[in-house]
Amino acid sequence: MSMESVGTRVVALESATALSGPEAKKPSRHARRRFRAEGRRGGVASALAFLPLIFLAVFGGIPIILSLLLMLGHFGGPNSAVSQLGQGEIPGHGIGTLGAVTQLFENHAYQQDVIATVVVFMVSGVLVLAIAVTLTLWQRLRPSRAMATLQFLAVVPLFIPVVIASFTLWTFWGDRGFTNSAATMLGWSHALIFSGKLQGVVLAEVWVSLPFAVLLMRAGVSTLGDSSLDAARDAGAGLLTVALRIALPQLRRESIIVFCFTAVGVLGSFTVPYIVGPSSPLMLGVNAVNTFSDYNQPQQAAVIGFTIFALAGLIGAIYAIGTRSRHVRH
Amino acid sequence: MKPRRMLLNTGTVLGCCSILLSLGVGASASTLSQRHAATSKSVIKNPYPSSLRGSFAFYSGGDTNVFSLWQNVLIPAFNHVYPHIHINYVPSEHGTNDVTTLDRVAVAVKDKVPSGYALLESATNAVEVAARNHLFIPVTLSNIPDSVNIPKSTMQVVKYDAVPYRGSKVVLAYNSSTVSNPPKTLAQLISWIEANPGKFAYCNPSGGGSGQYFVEDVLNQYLSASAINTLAFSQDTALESGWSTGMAQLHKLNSLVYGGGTYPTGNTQVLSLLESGAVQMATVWSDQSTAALRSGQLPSTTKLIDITPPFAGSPVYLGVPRYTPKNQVRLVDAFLNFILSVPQQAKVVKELAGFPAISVSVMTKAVKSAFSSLGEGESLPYDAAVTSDMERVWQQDVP
Repeated sequence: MSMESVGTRVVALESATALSGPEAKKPSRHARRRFRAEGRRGGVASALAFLPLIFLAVFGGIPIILSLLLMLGHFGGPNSAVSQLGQGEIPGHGIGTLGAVTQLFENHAYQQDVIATVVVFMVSGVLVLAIAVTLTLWQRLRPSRAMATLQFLAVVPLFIPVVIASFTLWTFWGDRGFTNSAATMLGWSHALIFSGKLQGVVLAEVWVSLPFAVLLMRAGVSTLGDSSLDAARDAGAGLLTVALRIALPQLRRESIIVFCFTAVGVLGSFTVPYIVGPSSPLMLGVNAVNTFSDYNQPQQAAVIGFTIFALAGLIGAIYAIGTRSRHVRH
Repeated sequence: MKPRRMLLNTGTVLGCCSILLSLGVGASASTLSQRHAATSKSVIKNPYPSSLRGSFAFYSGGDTNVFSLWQNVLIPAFNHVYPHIHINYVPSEHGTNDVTTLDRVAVAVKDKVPSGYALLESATNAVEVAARNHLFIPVTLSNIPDSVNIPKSTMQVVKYDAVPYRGSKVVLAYNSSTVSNPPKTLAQLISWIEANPGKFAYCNPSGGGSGQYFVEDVLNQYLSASAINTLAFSQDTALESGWSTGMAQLHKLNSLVYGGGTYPTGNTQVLSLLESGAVQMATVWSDQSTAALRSGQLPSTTKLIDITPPFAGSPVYLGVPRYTPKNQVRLVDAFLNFILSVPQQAKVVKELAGFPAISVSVMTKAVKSAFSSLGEGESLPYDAAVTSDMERVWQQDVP
């Protein structure tokens, strides 16, 4: 919209210039007023175009820079309030120090936290993708009321607050919860307890992330052309072959989006791992909050923040590469 | 209830007095404390007329029961007496904005300008941290006369820079239908845990004070009385190195607690484990568990007891940031003086099932009898910065 306004303004200026020769007639008062009005509109449009950038800079860029300075041990200026009350600070001079970074990464517990976080977001992403693809593709290739009901149920968690869901799942998978009680009745005592375990975090994250993934995949699956699917069937391909060799390759872009969005969501999540997860290893989101609020170590919390940032960058790279290659092939 | 750490449910004012005095804390009384205690229990005329008018902002980190106490009980009662004072109450669920609010106050004090808040309460230890950094206006008998009834030790913990308004302590809860002979000492408790794997729970100390004070009790076994006293008031990394034996013992208990090393996130989850029968014994907040017993959330077979040495308790403090405009400070002082009066403290006890901030001895007979079963004894909690260190070390060494 802004480009359109700018273009209009350029055309108007060109028209004005064309009319500005010595033989040209002086523009009428009405025309001059119109040019001025269009100029003002163009200015406003340009300013509006910059608003998102300003918003990003103020609420994203500047805090990131301040956190980077804090991580490097620069405690002056805007960081003075946080550092005034912080503990365990390692001051830096000149460019700064990576003391806080090495302190954390040399810590065995922190290494375990990073590994646990990567495993949880990778496994959660793959599981969510697999379930979403299965639910939506199955319904597309072989529609049934049961599968439609399952698809509907998969979207229900979208309307349940995460904190409520987390407490419920913690109880459900607990020592006296449904799963363990059922297992115990079948003589399989203490086998299905997931509360306080990373497996519980993965299950809860899948539960929370599934609605969005199903909605997105459903939209992707609906674009699959009947002709290719029918041609494969006519050639004698079974359901699995059609799904894996015909439909899935066409859903590559949607699959990458679902995986990356789920993974990034899990990576930055707090409520689910805080309530359902174990005390050790900790997901990085929980560790960052604990370090900032409970251990009162803002510098170390900034390091954890940048670790999350770096991991999110990796997921972003997967997204960019995955979606670009698809684009090039087209 | 307050979800996390010491401040959260919080602690009592009561027993601190006797314990602190026995530890010799009283010997280091400051000028302020002398001024404070000079007219102990004497009736000082309320210097704040009901004609006072104006408004101030009150930041409150806590849980829904705390919000209800302020919004439905204390503030309406105050407005009944002081109809021209408007309190802009700003609640923050679970104290999620405690740290950012504390930072805001720190910046304002540094710049010598008002912070925008005239009164602070936190769900974390933010108010204690602020008091430790002298961000608050000191409390004196001349500005809050009814603070005379607050045990001196409670005020010394925050160096007279904040004022408590309620308290709680951590106690041992057990199922009397399955545990016939409950432990009476910490050593007996640890033996019981070893003899009954998976039947005891304490929450992650970062998540709730009931777990935090259990950990502190275990760690304090291996510290001298003077070291414990020092850590209650100031950070000392040399003394903190003495935690290693206690942490090793806690690590050993790891496989013997609930779920083979599962630590509930907060105080509430511990109560749910007790309620479901998943555990037979746990450390809990006295106020939270008493309220749960009253409401029937906990079965009547659940009993609450003190052990020796007792777990710590902690008061919940309120602070008035420095450089708050003087006219607002006067309004806040009128408010604080009001909520420290005996009738209002009785409401606090009734609403939250907590301890009063003022001595039980000056409370009504009904309140006195309510606390006779648990007693007033409690240990000193660690200083705010020491608590942060303890939680970090526990996270590294125990689970």
